[in-house]
Amino acid sequence: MNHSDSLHRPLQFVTGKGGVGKSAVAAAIAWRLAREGRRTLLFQVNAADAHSSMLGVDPIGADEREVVPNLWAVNSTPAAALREYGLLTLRLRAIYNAVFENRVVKSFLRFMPSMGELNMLGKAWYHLGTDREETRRSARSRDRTVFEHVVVDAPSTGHGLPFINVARVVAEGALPGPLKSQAEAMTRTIQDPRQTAVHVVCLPEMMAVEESIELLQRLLRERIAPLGIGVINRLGPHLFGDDDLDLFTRLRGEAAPDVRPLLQAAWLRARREERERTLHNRLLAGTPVSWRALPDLVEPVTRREQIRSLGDLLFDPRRTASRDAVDDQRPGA
Amino acid sequence: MQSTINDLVRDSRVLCVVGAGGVGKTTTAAALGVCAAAAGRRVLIVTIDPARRLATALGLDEIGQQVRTVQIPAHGDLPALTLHAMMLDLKGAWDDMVRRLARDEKQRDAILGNHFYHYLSTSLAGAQEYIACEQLFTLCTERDYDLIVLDTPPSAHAIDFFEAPGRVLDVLENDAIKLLLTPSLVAGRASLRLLDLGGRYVLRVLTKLVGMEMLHALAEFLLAFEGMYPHARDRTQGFRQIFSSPTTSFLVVATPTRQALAEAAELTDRLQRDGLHLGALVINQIYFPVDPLPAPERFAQTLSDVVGVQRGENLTRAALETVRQRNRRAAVEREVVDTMLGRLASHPRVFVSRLAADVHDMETLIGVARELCASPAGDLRVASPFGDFPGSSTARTDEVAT
Repeated sequence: MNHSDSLHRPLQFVTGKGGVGKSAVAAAIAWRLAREGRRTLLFQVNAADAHSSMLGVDPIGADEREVVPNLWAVNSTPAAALREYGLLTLRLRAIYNAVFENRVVKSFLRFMPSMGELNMLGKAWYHLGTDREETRRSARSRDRTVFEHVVVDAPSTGHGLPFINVARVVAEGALPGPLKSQAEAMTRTIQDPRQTAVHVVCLPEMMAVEESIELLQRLLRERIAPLGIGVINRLGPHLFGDDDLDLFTRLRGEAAPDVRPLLQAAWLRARREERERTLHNRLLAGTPVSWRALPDLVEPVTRREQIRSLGDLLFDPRRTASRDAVDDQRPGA
Repeated sequence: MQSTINDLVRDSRVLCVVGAGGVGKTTTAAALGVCAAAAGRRVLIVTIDPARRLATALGLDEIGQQVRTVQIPAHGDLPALTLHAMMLDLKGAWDDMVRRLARDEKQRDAILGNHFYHYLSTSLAGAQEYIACEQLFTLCTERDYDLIVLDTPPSAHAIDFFEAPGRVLDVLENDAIKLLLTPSLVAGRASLRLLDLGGRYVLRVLTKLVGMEMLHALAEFLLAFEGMYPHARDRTQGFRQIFSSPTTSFLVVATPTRQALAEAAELTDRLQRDGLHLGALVINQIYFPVDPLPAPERFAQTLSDVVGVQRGENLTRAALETVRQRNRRAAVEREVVDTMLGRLASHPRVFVSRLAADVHDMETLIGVARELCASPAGDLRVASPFGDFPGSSTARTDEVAT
């Protein structure tokens, strides 16, 4: 496996500002990996399940399920992840039930700082089989809980970085004990540039761009996890150029009333496109990642073919964004 | 002028802005502040926002935990306005609360220095929501403002806002945890109860899960908080009173996407179940259709006169494509809104155009405020981006992004 390519690393997180299309990007990456014949797990973090409608499958719950060949999906919840962790640690279901159904333990675990996040992150990590590396290779390949790739649709910025970082925070902050050692093992994987990548999704809008730049700087500065790719979602294709905007601006003052509605529509669009190009260049200049641009789909993402084609675009190196190059569909251009 | 939002900003003392992440809660809160100031009210906007977007929207680099006065220069028919804004610093607000409520210096230092306190104040689920309510309570009691607009914290599920304060309270006053973790510090009677709970066995398993030292630190923390629980309980009662007051309204914000609208519907149900007042559903970042379709001939003619027939025709095709895409999008969105909110049709709705997606300067913020104030509680058909907004200046129409 080529680990230099961040889209092929075992553990991938997709994050960004709320509403930018993280779920669609995560689903697109995971499905594409599955189509390459790799056993892949698409992992939602206690989310309002968005993946099932995008992939056109039944609602996705807290147990992994194969939704299309090679692609498994799960919507992890703190309670279910804790239950799995408990069962793994205590081995016996009877003991688990006796302990975890206890009122005191329930409220205690709810209070344990970051326990919910840590358990969900731990579950994503567990499915890589890293902790079972020592077992014989053949035995590991038969282990149905192990996946080649786990693609995590992480929470949005405010909660996304704390989520990805929770293992390290616990590893550094917790007092010695089983929790700490577990968190340390997770941190080793998450900080390993051969194993983990964080992809950042962004829109060509001022605040999303500013937030993405800030997010990428924090990821680097605080060494939270290795960077993956950047995705500029809903960019273009553009219908007008800068010279067209100048022309419309000039004509607006003098246009006859019956010309104005169309001129107004064209001017607004041309102006938005010009702003998008500026923001696109600002992103490229201000961040140390490779950006891929995805087109603006007029239709909402409800058909799985859209997710399929987004995946192909993301994996196409020719789609790597470069300065001043926004998909241009000017008639006659 | 009569409109849903105008009525709300005039008659309310508290407006809570709730909704899924990324739908424009912060911008809506800021715009409501502008509406209220325009209606002559002394208004404070309170936000808790890790991404500090309200600061951007208000043209301030940083709003501190202190209340800041924001001056908005006169703009079109809008006179110069003054409003107030503050950003809640989570850690700072918790520290303040501990300082205020601690019995003495010893208790205060014991809490502030505890290993777990750091987690509680920064990372515990619900900590943000609890402190937001605490802040709202204090501000309401001081009554320095006619209206407080509360921007709620971003969360995985918008509904969390209503659960979170209770969750923090559960933790702070959970006797079972205290009994379990402090057996050496409570009298014999409690030890007996511990045995009833199967305490020793449970403790052993917990040790296996998280380690003994963690358990000790937690026990110390809970002891340090002793005596502050009644306060927390009183406060939760107080929060409930504020939220259910007839002068408090909730604004549920959503973008025209399935996911955001589903959360909005869920929130609306929740408000009704709890007997809280829904002021309006704000459908944000919507595309209004271009209606009637403009005739292209004169447009093509005008352009051809200036830039030649070839480029004139190309630009006309592109302009018509712009309108086609925009109307298609408007139709798709409208269908989604109707599907998802059909059963909530009786609640007042307010639509704000797409421009709100990118509010980062004062002028655009005023534009959103104008739309909010002007929008009658109607449906999509009443507004057109090329028409004028009732009661607003014509300058505004230029700002509607396609």
